[in-house]
Amino acid sequence: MQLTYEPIIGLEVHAELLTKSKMFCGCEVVDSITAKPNRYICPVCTGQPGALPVLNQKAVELAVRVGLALECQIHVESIFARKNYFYPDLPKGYQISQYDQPLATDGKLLIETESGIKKIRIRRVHLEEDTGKLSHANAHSFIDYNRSGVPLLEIVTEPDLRAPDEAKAYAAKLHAILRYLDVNSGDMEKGVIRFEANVSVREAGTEKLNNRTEIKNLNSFRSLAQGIEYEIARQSEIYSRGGIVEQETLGFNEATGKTYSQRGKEEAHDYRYFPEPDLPPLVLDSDWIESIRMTLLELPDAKTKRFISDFNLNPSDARFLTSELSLANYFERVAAKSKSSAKIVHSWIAGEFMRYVNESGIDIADITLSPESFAQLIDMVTYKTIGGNAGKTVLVELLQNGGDPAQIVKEKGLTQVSDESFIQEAVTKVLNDNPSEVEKYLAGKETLLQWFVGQVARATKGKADPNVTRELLVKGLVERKK
Amino acid sequence: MSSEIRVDEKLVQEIASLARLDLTEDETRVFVSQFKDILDYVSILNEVDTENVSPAYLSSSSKNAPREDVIEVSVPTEEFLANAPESKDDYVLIPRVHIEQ
Amino acid sequence: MKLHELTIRETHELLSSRKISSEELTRDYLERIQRLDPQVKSYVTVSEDVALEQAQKADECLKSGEGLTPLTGIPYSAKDSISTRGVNTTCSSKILENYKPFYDATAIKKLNSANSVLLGKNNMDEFGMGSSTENSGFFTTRNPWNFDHVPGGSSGGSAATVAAGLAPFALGEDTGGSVRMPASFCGVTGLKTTYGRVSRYGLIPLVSSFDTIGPMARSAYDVALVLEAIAGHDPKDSTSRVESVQSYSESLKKTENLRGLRIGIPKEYFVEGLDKEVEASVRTAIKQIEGLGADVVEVSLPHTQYAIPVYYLILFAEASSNLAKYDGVRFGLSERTGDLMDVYLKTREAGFGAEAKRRIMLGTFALSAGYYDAYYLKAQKVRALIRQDFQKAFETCDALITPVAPTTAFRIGEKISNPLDMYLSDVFVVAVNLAGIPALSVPCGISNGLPIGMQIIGPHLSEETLLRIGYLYQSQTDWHTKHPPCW
Ligand SMILES: [Zn+2]
Repeated sequence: MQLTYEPIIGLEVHAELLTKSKMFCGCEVVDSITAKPNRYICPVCTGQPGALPVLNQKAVELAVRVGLALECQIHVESIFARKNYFYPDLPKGYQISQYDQPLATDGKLLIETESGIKKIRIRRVHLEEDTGKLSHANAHSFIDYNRSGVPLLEIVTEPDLRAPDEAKAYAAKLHAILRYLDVNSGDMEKGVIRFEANVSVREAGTEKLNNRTEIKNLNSFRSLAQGIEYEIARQSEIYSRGGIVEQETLGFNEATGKTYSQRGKEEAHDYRYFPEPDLPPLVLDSDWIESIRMTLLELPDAKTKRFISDFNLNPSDARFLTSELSLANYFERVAAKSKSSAKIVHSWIAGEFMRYVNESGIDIADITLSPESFAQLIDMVTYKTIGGNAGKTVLVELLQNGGDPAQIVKEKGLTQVSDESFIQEAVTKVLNDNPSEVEKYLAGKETLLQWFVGQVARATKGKADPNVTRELLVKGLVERKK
Repeated sequence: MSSEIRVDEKLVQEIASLARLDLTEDETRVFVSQFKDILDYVSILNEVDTENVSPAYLSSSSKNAPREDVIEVSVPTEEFLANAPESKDDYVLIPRVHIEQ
Repeated sequence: MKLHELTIRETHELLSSRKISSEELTRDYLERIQRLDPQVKSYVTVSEDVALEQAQKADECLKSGEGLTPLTGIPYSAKDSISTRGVNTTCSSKILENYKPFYDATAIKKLNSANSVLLGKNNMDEFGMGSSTENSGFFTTRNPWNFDHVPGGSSGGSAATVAAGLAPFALGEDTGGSVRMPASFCGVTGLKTTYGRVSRYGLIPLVSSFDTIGPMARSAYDVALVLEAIAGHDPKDSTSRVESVQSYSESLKKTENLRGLRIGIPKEYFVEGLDKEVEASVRTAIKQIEGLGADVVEVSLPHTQYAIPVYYLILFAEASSNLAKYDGVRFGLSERTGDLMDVYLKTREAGFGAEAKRRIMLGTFALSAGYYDAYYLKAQKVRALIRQDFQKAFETCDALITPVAPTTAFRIGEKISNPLDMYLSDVFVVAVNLAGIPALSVPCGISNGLPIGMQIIGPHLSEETLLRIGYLYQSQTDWHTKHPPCW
């Protein structure tokens, strides 16, 4: 009989914090992919003998924001520790991190799974510094310290996840929250969020604690799910053969979708943590923590709920609109200015607007079309001043070149006509000009009606109200049947 | 303290590897005996009752005084690289870090 | 009178009245260094070009009178663990043999802005690991009073420099007696400052939670002048103290006696193993201080015997971490054969001396999983008790007086083969570093041609009191004005 195995998954997420300067020195935080190497460096972040760290207040504030958003307990006193290991991208020979007294602990995040809402417990949220960057060519490795000392937030879950999709859902939700809180740029392809997954499996129905492996360098949602999936299969296969999974650190190869052993690269982890003597304990004022709490924005879950109740949207539409803060904000502003229903506004935003955003690659935050103009355009369509297709044309024009919607409609002569005599003229002409299509329609090919509507629209340069057109066409066709 | 810990050449070699020190056999042997002496000596601390004592990590009572998030001028790349044993195209150069795939 | 025989205070008068120029003074010292230092071996680097340039700048300042301070135009030297921009800073280690920092330590910056003149960098035990300078990666400094004896350590080069008249003052650094012990062995006045009183930014660390920069000079008054120039809060050092700096030298000028001051004599510091002549000298000094109006009482510091094991366990741990950055990647020695692991291993093998390796090993061990609680954590707990001892003593006393070392300077080679024996010579000095409090080492006798020092210990930020006691004692005695034969 084939045994089934249940995976036990925990995630560690490393997110770069959006500060201007580094965690422990005044060097500028830059895009380490495009910046020239070793330009944003100083004695502190290159580990010069005698240099000392000084904590960045903003990094603490951003970390507290995340801690609060994840409903953690924020500790008024936390301490920094040295994590000792040798690696050429780590200039001091130790990383300043937090160990047994982190900034925040015991939080939670709710995710949606196939079987409903699930609570994922957050074990800890702590601050640490990023390392430099290595690249390799031929016999050498090249080190760039621009990224060394960039503030990182580490967010660690309890092993509450039970499937690759749950891990993915958690990661996506956390990503959205970090964007919402404006603590991280969210640019996954730039490596500003990185995942590590702890995976073990056990026979379904048992409470056994088996050895777990730690998969490093998972840099996208896709890799995260793939890596975990591969690892579950690998471990299950080992147990089904009667073998034992070794507790170890694994790498992930994006090209093959497989994990690989990093054995030999480092010996057993013995980081020899001890309190960082160069930094006194971080003591926070509880009033200050409360003041941060007051500034916390509405998070995706709360916003979704509000959109459903206030705008009467269905849950999936509301979730789509709240998936990104800039999108939610834009929607709210357009909806506020528009006389049309929120549902109509949603369909405009989810449809033509998002198509433009996705195709152009533009950031919603950088859209110049004012919510007022957009709302005006939507209302022109809703109240039939212009046709739907004309409206789409105008929207693209507005998004690309700006301008006033009424003006564009006027210039392009797009005002919709519902005058029956004008439309009847075009309908009669179209029916007369296309006897074979009329015959086919009358023989039962009713789908041709839409084609006739299109012909009339073309003949009237889109000015004809499609509903009136359809009515008159049906009437004309029925007459011809007789 | 020391009585339970077996200080032998294996332990010394493990520690040396963690510390990235390459010890000769002679050095290892000398370390084993000096380790024993020193650990034996510090075991005098076992006499002290520290049951209800919290550790005193820091030498001053100061709290952390974080700095404002302000950008300061960085050091010119040449000055940093002047001390580098090897550099190329403004990168610090080292023998290739072995990556298993 | 020769220039090198003058105190800072006297030299300042000649400079500010323009009877001499800083350049003349600097050249005089450079010439003396060239003549005498080949025997004393107190300098690792003599920064002649920098010195002459700074002297000329000082002379312009003296001419215009603008920004004049008591240290303007005064030459000095610094322990080689203090970063000096563009001037070799080696910690007397082969691993940093040609390392030129691209930044100045805050203390050096402050002296630069006072227009003092850097003569060079002083020899030390490698990274401060030792009590004799015999652990220098380059050479052993000799005690100017007797070349067969050690100058003490680890700031042995700085103490010998001041004692031999090769600089009017030096910046030393004290982790576990490294200013006081050599000051005592060489007959100069040295101050271990309150932890955080002088910025550590740019001080290459041995033990980050013990290290303090402190002045070494020929009198308590000169020490006060240097201290007020280098002390103060530094936003670049998160452990530096925010309290404002007093005008120590001004308050010394006003002090007349020690009435109302209570001095404690810790009985645990006058025990077996303490040299009879050292004890006699210190006891005589205590009598003289009593004669200046102070009350003297016996006190107890019951955990004294645990100070050395606590000190060394914490030292091993922090040092093993602080020395991890010397890996041949970014600066310093780099043995480039083989792969990256070879770079690490061979660089550290060739670059570190035996004592450094020993301490890195012991620290790595003490911090590693399974041993942390038994060693490092235990030591930090006992440290709390030692600190409490001092707090209790200072509830009734303003200062404590003890010997600095159990003996006078030992012979070169006498203790080098037994590390534990060497560690034990720090018995009277390390507890002060565990508590982070200040202590002043003051010459108070000579035995067989070698100086004896007493240690005056006070609570946090009590530098003014300690300097006052030292200053008044020196106004009554002449031990601090005695010179070694090579002078
Ligand atoms: Zn920096």
